[in-house]
Parts: sequence; structure tokens; C-alpha cells
Amino acid sequence: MSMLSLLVGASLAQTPAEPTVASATAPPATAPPATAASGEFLIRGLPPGPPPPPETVEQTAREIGLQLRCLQCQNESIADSNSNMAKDSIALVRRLVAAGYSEDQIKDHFVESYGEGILLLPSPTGLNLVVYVGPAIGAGLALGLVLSTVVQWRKEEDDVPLPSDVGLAPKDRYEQRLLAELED
Amino acid sequence: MKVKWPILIVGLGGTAALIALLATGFSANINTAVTDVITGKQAPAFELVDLQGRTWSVEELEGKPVFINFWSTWCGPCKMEHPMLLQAAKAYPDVQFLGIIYNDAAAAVDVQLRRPPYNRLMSELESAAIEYPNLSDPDGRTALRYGVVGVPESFFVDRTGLVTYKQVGPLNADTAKRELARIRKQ
Repeated sequence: MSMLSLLVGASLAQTPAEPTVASATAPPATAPPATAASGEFLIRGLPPGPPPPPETVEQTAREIGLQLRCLQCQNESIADSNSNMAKDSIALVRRLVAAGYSEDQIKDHFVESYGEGILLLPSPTGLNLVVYVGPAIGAGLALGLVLSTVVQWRKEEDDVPLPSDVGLAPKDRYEQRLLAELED
Repeated sequence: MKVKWPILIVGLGGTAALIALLATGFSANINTAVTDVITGKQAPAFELVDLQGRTWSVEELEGKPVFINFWSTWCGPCKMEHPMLLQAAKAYPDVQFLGIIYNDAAAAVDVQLRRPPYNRLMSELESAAIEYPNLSDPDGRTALRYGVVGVPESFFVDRTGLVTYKQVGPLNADTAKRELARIRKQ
């Protein structure tokens, strides 16, 4: 890891003091939730649906947040992370849910900015399908291999010729007894 | 024992593929999980207010090359690149330089923009004259829209509003010169 990335990492890990620049110049919190200060929709050009009941917003936002990757963490969702960027992300999710945007619309909004990598669970399309059908195909192949091997073993057992089958008489009492036990 | 070559080959091939998959997964850089999907597209729209109270939007900047730098006072690399950006803003007056302040304290921004050592390369008068606008980003929404993972990150936008280059981490002078020349030409 380079010194530069260490510096960048260190800078990301720090937490700024309050009050923030955003809070000093941000529009008032009483602004209509479905639109930005300019009157434009929160997702530009995309009108939201009907707003959900307020008591469901937090739970829905968390469910969506659990599916979005924290950008500064290792395999952690924005719903679980305490990083600044994750907190901002989940706050945006909460705001979009409250405005009436659907789960797919919100996830698409994040994908538009960060690509498919933002999704902890990739969408089942294109090459991503390998993730979904790969294990089933692998398990099927493994099962087929085991079954065919077992069948092959049993067939080989049945195919072992007895001395008498190839015209040879048992040579001694031991072999006679062995054959008798095998025939039982 | 008779060797069953097809089974052996399939088994070894599968094992090798699994090892390759695991090796790739474990050695992957977490930052590459998120790809740059902004470069080559129109710069995402924003409407933000600067520290002097003026509103800025991407639309009104169309026809002019724009340089956008997301930064914070609590970010060391941002401080490292800031003097170079101030010099670049002075050298290329036809390019609109915009700083977007991510998740920061108002007092800290005030200190960094107006006092030494960050303005050590120029007098206070010069600093005030060439300092480019710094916009507040409530809740980091614009940073999130631009796919910012951490500060500093910079975006070069040409006259048509297209993002031509995204720099993750501090910008060096050579890259700045090269990319500024590109957006000024187009």
C-alpha cells in the first residue's frame, strides 16, 4: 500500500467537527420532501410515487440500505456502517423512500453513480447470472459425478468373474469358502 | 487402478478454476468494486450555493470548461493539492474552477481558505482575487451523485458538459495540465 493511499485512507477515516458547511447553507429542513430546493424531483426527471406511511420509512430504508455497499468499508452495507459516506448514503435512501421512490428506483439511482459494484447482491442479468445459476450447475455436476462413479463401481463389482465362470475350478478350501460366502 | 482421464481432467480443471476465483476475489482491491461510470457521460446536474451565497448550477456553466474538486479541510491530501489548484485557477481563467466542500465544518473551511499556510503562495489580496468558488453540498448529495468514494476527487468537464476525466485522490500538476488542456480544446 502506497503512502498516498495511506494518506487517503486516513483522511476518509476522520470525522469532521460540527457545525457543518452544509448545515450552515443548506435549505431549511421543512422543504417538501419529494423535491430539491430548486423544485426539481429528488431524482432528476423521475417523479416519485405516492409517499409511504411515515412509520414504514425507516424499516424500508434499512432494507434497501442493507443491499447497498458501503464505499469505504470491506463488504459492509451502508445500513451497518458508521462512515460519513455511508451515513450520507442511508440518509439519502431515507429521504428518497419518504418521497415515494420505489426500491428499484433508489437502487438504480445509486447504480447510475457508482455502477453495479454498489450492489451487495448483483442483479440477476448478463454475466451476473453465473453467480445465481453457477452453484446449482456445479452441485448438479458433482451429484452426477458421484452417482455415475457409484454406478460404475457396482457394475465393476458385478463384472468380476468367478473362477468357475472362466472355467477354473477352486484351487483350495479357502477359495471354496470365499466363493460360498460371496454367493451368500 | 485404472485412471479415468475425463473425470480427472474435469476435477482438476474445476479445482483450478475455484482456486483462481478465490485468489482473484481475495486479492481484489475493495476500491475497484465500484467502477467509474461518470466519465464519458454528461456531468450530473446540481444546484448548490457557494460560501458567498451565490447559486451555481451545471446548466448555467454549459459552453465553458469546468473543473470540479470535492474536498474537505479534514482531508490531508486535499490540503496537499489545494495550492496547486489555486495556481491552476489563476493560470487558466477561461476554466471555471469549482470546489465542492464535502462534510465539513464551516469554521474550518473559513480558516483553510483565508489563512496561511494554504494561501502562502500569494498575498491575501491575490488570494481573494483568484480564489475560486467553493460550494456547500448539503448531506453530500452531489458527492453521491458524482460517485465520489472519498475526498479529494476531481472532475474535468468539457464545454459540452461531458465529464472527460475523473481523478480519485490528489491531483498532480502534470495530470491537471494535461486534462485542463483537453477540456479547453474541446
